Formats: sequence, structure tokens, C-alpha cells
Amino acid sequence: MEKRSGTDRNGSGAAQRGLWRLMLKLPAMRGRLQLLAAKSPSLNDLFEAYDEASATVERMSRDRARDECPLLEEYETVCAEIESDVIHYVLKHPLNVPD
Amino acid sequence: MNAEVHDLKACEVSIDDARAELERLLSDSRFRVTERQKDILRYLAERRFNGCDEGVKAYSVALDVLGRPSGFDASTDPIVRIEISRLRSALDAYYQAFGSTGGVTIHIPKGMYIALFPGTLIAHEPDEEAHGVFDLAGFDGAQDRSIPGSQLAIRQRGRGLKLAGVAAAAALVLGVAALAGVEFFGQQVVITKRPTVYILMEAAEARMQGEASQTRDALMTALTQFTTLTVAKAGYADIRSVERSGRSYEITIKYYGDADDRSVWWQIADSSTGDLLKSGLEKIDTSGKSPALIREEMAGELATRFAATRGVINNIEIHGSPEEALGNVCVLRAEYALDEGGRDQVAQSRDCLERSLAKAPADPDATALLSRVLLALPGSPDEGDMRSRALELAKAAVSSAPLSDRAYVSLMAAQFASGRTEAAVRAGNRAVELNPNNSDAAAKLALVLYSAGYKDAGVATAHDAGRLVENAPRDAMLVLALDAYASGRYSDAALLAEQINCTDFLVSTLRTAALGQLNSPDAPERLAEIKSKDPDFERSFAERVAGWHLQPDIAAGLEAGLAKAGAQIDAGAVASVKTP
Repeated sequence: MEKRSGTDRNGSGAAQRGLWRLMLKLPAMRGRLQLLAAKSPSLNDLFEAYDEASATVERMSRDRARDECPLLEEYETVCAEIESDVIHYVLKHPLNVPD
Repeated sequence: MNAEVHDLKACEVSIDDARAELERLLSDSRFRVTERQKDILRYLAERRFNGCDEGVKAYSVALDVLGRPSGFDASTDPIVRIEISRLRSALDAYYQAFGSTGGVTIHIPKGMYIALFPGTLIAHEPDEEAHGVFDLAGFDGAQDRSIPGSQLAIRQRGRGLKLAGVAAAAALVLGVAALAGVEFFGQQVVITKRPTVYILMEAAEARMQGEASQTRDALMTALTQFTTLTVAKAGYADIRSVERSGRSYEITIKYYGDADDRSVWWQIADSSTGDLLKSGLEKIDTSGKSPALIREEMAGELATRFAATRGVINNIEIHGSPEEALGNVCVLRAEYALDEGGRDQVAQSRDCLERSLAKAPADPDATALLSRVLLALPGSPDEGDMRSRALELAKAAVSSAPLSDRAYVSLMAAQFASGRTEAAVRAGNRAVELNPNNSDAAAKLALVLYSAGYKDAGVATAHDAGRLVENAPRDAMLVLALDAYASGRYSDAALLAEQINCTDFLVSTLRTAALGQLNSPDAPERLAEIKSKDPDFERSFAERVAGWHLQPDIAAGLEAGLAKAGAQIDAGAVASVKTP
């Protein structure tokens, strides 16, 4: 039951954090990502999902060894899939802006 | 949030249009989602089509679609939120890029796990949710019902059909009730179905994962061979579907392995409540066995534990179902009654099965059991007709369920009762082939073989049937007891017959005859017990023997033992009886 702040531009703090995480992960697409995030509200859900999946990977990696936590690999795969989805989206929506 | 959902619901399309859009979208390669997300979308949609208007819980999605164990905790494993967010994003991106076809779209609102099918394009606006609360449990169904504008097109059209159906059904019920004088007012008969099980097996250690996975596959095969349960597909189990009226169970299994043994810990939980119902541990010795044999042995042991008529789940089904329930529970109760030999229980089972078949005439399980029950009720004036009907029913059961061991067991019994011994043995062999782990079928085949004169084969099959399970089935014990009696080992025969937990006349007769042969002082007492149940026992003994289809030498031996116990049976009465 997550309360939304309602103050950030992307509709939720989780979406904003997810966007920042993706900008760190995909530095070559930083500029385009920011512009698309402002234009495409449908990306917010993807950013939120990325934030939550990345946070879960960090928590699981911190708390337990890899072989004790079979879900870690699953969440790493989810993160990789979301990165791939975002890259696909960015490439499909060219903005002609510098990165 | 609620207002948004209410507005969307108000403009939803019909179920047919919604289903068409779902199928179109799922088959469109431009809709970029993983198979798992497609499964989630289908699950949400099916739940909606089945009348679930208030959304589903993350727990349901996790267990039914993602294959998570019953201990799933969304606070530490947020996979459902993540996958739903990705799916929502993919839906919005798709409709933004390609628009809707025929004006229908699929939408998953924020804060709820529900599929909506509005007739207009819905896109998320960032500010739209600025003050929303991400609360899955926050949706108030009562409020929904209070807003006239929220009446669903799906519901309206569905209700229209349902109302017409209900009116027609009510008229039919009234007509039938008026004709038959049936009490219907206020009564709602529960029709039970086979329970559905969902299996989750994991290895205790990563190195055993491959072995555990192969054992799981073998277990799935062994469970489906029993045909007493519906086994849900791995990873995507619509076990909570409203359409299923049977209960559903989750079986969680953990696989352990040491150098010379393999063991599994299992637990069964009720899917709807999450309550833990039963738990246990099975262990097998691996020394000298190939990996394939170990797998088969473990799978067979577990399948028998879970799916046999006297297995854990069917036991829960029998005791957890209402007394007056029809359907699958009647089948199970009939199998128990036949095993225990109580005439009253068998007669009750007949009634239950006849009523179940009146509601669902094509049910092969009820058909098969009714056939066996009819044969277990001898002494009726129309015994010949009963045997013919039993044979017809058994054939119908085999015809509609050719892979059911239950159906073949009934065919074996009906053919044997009709004097077609060879055909009965063939049917019994087929039942055992279809489900090698069904020790009851093997034991029944053993009794048919032994009674028909194939004594060595009967005894060997009875030993095999007894090896499969902890407690040897009744018919296997009976064969061994009969064989001990026929070989003059009366003490063994008496001991084996005492161990058979039933009130069947053949078993009682065998006990008494063995004690009679031993000149035991208990023999007259046992004879008195038989007479108390059937005062006409001595006079009708020859007819009973004919009904058991025993070989003449065995029947004559029993007669001699009963005479020693003090029974007044006409000398040579049994010899005059025609046996197969």
C-alpha cells in the first residue's frame, strides 16, 4: 500500500526513481529517456517496475548469498527485460536530441 | 481511483467483444510482452469473465500464474506488482501506438488487479493518479453496487442471458417437481467435482534441482493416471477460477537427497483459504536402484498418497463435503462403501449416484461406480436386470473415459459377474496398465483371477498389490486368505481374514469357516454374528456362493468349515451351484 506523493513530474516517486536508475544504467540514452518520460505517461509504469525490481535485487544481494536466494536471478532477469523494453521504446520513438 | 474504475466499467463492451479483443491482442506480435505477462492478462480477463468484479489479490496471481509457493509474501517478493506494472505499460503503449480495433481496449487500472474492457481508448495521465492510493484492498464493492451508472455492459448482457436461463431452469424445476413431488423450495444441492491440485516441487539444495524437476514430471504423470484429481498445469493454474466448483489444493514438496536415500517433505494447503491441511514425509532407499527407478518409485508413492481413493485429498473431500452433496463425493463414498461392505452404505451410495447421474448423465466416474454398486446389491428380485444394467453402465463408462482405470475396474467387475471371465481379466489388465500405481485395481484383478481358477496368478498379483501400499487392499488380503484356506493353512487364513477391515459376507464367511476348521471356540460366535445380519444365511448360502463366483473346490471348502462351526447348510448345496 504505497502512498504516492503527487508532487513529482512522473506521477510517483517510484517512477522518478526508476527513471533515474535507468539513466544511470543506460547513460547513452539519458537525454532521450528524460524527454520521452515527459511525453509518454505509459512509461511511468515501466519505470516504477524497474525501481521496484532493482531495489529487490539490491536487497536480496545484500541480505543473502546468491545460492540461498533463488529469486535473485529472476529479479535480475526482470531488470534486464525492462532495460531491453526501454531501449526498444526509445529506438522506436526517435526525438533527434543529443544524449 | 474508484471513480475512475466506475467510469470505465460503465462503458465496457460485451463479454463476446471483450474476449475477441483479448484473443486478438494476445495473438498480435506487435504487443510486446513476455509469456508470463500474457498469462497474467489472460488470468485477469478470465476472472473478470467469470464474474469477479472486484479484482484479484496479488497472492492469487502469484500462486495461480507465477507458480509461487503458498508462503508467498508480496512485501518481500513484489513480482506481481512489477509484472502488472509492466503489463499495464505494454497495454498503454500498444493502444497509443496502434489504436484500438472496433473501439475496444483492455485496461488495468492503477491500484487494482482487474482487467477492464472499456469501449474507448484509455491512457494514463500522470496527474490523474497524483492523489491515488495504491491500495489493493481499498476497492469497495458495496459502493460499486450503489452507483447505478456503474452497471456493466458485460454484466447487463450477461445478466440478461442469465435471467432468461434462470427463468427457463426455474420453470423446468417447477414442472419436474410438480410431476415428481420433489421438495425443491429452499434446497440447493451441491454438485461436487474432482478436486484440482497444483504441484510445486523444489529441491532443498541447488544441486538436487534437476533430480527434483524430473521427479516432479514423473509425479504429474502418476497423478493424472489416477483420474481422481484434476492436475493443474505448472506455472499457470486457473485453480481459483469461479467456473470450477471443485475444491483446489496446493501441494508443496521439498526434495532432499543423501548418498543412499531420497526423501520428500510435503504439505497440502487449501487454495482458497491457505489453510495447511496435511503434511508428511516419504523416504525411499536408493541403494542398487537406477535414477529412473528411484524417480518412478518416489512418484508412485507420492501419487498414491495424494490421489488414491483412500489418499489424503480424497479423504479430505469425503469428510469435508456436505452429507447431501452429489457428484464426485458420491463416487468417493461409493468406493469406500464397496470396500467396507456395508449393505446400507452401498444402498445409500446407489441413491447418491443415481441422483448425480440425473444431474450429469455423462459423468463416467459416477457411471462406473453405479455399475459396481448395482453388482454389490444382490438378492434383489430383478438381479438379472441389475447385472445387465451394470454391464451397460460399465461399457458406457469405458466408452466415455477410455483412459480411466476406474471405468475398466467397473467393466471387469460387470463382466465377471456376467460370467465373462476372459473379458473380465482383459479389462482388469487394462485398468492396471492405465494406472500401475492403483493397488486397488490390481487387488480386484487378483480376486477375479483367483476366483476364476488362475490361482497362482491371483496370488502373485495380490502380493504385488500389497507391496505398493502400506496397508494391503481388501481384495488382495482376501485372495491371500482364500489361498491360505484352500492350502489348509487355516490359522493363516483366519489371521489374514481378521485383518480385513470390512463387514463383507465373503470375509465373514471365510473368518468363520477358518475358525471352524481350527475347531476354535470362537467359531459359533462368529457364525451367530453372520446369522444376526442375515437370519436366512444357511439356506441362502448356495446362492451367495454363486454370487461370489468362487471355484467349486473353494466353495466346498468354505461349506465344510462352516459346518464345523455349527452351520446347518444343506449338504452338497454348493456343488449344485453353477460357477464360472
